[in-house]
Amino acid sequence: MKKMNYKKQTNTFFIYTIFLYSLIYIFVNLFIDPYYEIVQDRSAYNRKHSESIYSTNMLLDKLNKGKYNLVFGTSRSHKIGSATFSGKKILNFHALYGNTESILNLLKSLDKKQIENIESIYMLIDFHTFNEKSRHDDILYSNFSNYFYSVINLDYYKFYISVVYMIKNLFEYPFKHYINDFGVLLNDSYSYKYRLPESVKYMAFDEKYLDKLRQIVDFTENNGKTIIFFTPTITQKRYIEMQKYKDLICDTRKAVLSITNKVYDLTLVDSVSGDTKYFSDPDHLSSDGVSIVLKSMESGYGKVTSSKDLFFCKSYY
Amino acid sequence: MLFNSYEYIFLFLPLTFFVYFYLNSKRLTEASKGFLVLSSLFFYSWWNVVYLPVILSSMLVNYTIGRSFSKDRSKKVSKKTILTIGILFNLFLLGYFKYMDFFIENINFVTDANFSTLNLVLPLAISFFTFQQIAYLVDSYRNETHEYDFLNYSLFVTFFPQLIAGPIVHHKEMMPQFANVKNKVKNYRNISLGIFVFSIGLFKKVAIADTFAVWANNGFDKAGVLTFIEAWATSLSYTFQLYFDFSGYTDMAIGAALLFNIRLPINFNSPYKALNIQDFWRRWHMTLSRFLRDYVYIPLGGNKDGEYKTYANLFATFLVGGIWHGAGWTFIVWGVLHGIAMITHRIYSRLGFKMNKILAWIITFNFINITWVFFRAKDLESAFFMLEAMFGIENITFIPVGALQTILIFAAFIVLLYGKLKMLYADNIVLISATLFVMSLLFLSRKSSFLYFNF
Repeated sequence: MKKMNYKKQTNTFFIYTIFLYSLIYIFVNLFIDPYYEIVQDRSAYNRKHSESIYSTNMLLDKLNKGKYNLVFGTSRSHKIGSATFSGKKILNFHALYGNTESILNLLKSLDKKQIENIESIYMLIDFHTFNEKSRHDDILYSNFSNYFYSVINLDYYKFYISVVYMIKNLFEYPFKHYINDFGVLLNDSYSYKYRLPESVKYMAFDEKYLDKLRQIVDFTENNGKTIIFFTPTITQKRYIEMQKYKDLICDTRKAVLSITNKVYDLTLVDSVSGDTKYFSDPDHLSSDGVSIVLKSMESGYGKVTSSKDLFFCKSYY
Repeated sequence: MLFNSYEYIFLFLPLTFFVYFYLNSKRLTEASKGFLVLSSLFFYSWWNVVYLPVILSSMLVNYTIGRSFSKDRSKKVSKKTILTIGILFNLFLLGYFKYMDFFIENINFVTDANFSTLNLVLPLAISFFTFQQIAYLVDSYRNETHEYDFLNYSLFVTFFPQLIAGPIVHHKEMMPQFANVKNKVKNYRNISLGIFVFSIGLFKKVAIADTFAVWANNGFDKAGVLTFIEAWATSLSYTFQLYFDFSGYTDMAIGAALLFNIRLPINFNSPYKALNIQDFWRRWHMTLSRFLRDYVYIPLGGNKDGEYKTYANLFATFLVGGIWHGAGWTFIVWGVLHGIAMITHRIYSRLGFKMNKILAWIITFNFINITWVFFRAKDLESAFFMLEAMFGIENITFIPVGALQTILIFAAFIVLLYGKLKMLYADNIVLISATLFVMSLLFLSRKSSFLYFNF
């Protein structure tokens, strides 16, 4: 009899464990974060940016069902969404980290319906665009890894912020923890924090990826789509700090200009770059900052007609 | 392979468990033992397969020497000589891998010589399996071990729950358990208890120790610039980290062993409740204390040769304990301080003094907390920086540390002083185990090794 009880106890342990873990899984991964965008092994800043490498396939599904503007970029463009871009319907593929080959592969994988559903494409020109080290698409097309990751990517931090997000959204208005276009809760309440400039190894320019950019432009032209390129906005202090890399940055942007003339240089935006309240750190805009910068772009600010207009090609003040 | 990893919890442990008992259910007992040895060696090699020949050769030599004690031999070589050779072999192995660079560095320092250090990688668990095998040799010499074949001996040394960081076990307490037929069938009482103990250990490690580790590491990295409160918060964080880390490991080891119907000795008994230093060493890393008592203190003469010799023996024992923990002056100072404390306590007790319990606890706990500073600091200079911040008068600024750190330090005090394992038992055992286990799983992404893997 006693023996039976212990056996029952052991089995009950496993049932409880599976039940409890499933509850947490459903709450965090299905209710709060269905696109697995909260990632724990990141810095405090990046935890709030969507790490949608696991959700890219889901975004592509959306493109089957309706018309969207596509945004390609990095963490510096991840906050572009309907709320920050004049209500446009946006699918933000920042998780590809803006590498031209990754983007080209994704565009080539689109079927006819998906291509038809593209309204416009916005592409950030960042350090990662032409850099091998920044490729993030190696497991993009693996459904198994997506699934496996979702099961184990359930940690104390994710659980904690899921609870916090839920509570804050019940009591807080206007929402600092807001639900984005995909029903994902995001936190935009971090205050500005200085950080050092990007390591130079991530700025290396690889000619191979310029050719991929040319192919991306050809792809959009052949399919009758518009693609607009823009540069990230930084603080004035960062602009001065980055002068030591100005030749590299200038050459990279000139190279883009040699392929397309639809380029907006938004490196410094007057009403934004001088005020850290529009930034999470010197390289990353807050949502408010993103809204202002995109409005400026829509009004024609930053349109580049020649390389003389590029910020890093001018001598700074 | 770490106990606190997905691969251990969800693959290695269940797979080993099921195959072991499957083989036993088919009456393939030798095969099941062989499988357990191979699994343990796989577990050991997971970190670095380069370590494998070291442990295998150590096992082979010790087994051969141990067996030779029970054979009819000519009197050409006495048993004592063989034992001495065996112990020297183990000490050489430990000395070569663990202390050679320390020795060379000190020779260079004293003589201004410039000998190159060997930069050897310390084989994992070498301190533990070496001590365990020295104990085996001594026990064999005293005819306290029964003869077993190499497979059994390998199982005794490599059994994966206790292989890396103990508890340090005796041959005579393990082998009968492996041989017992009753232990070859699944025992749900042990499984249930094992899961419970394992879950508690896992939670202690991943949720509590690793949280304190963040503050302790951060504080010790900045030892030179800490304020009064920060320094105390750092030292207390490490004191709690070490306890929860090591006792968590031990709980996981005991829990995992129970799944295989093997009872490992307990290693901790609420050590921070100790009211004097002797009491502390009866509660902290109990199997190491037992080893040092049985194989160092008593062979040196223990307390049988007068007071002064007893003091010398106590001092020597704790010096060995300090050196065993690591090749560095910080560990030696730590051992020396504990040796002096033991002598002081003995003198104090012999004089018949009594101390108020609360005062006794405060003195004991603070002594332990302060000496852990030497144990943790990367060198003596850092240790003194930390102590200066803790006691330097000009440094007393009361800038508070984080709220979570403060709360957890107070919570740890309450749990360690008033908590009893019995509170968790009874009807809620399953719910508590499952809850702790699931909560621990949420912390598994925060990968970290165990502190005692370095020793």
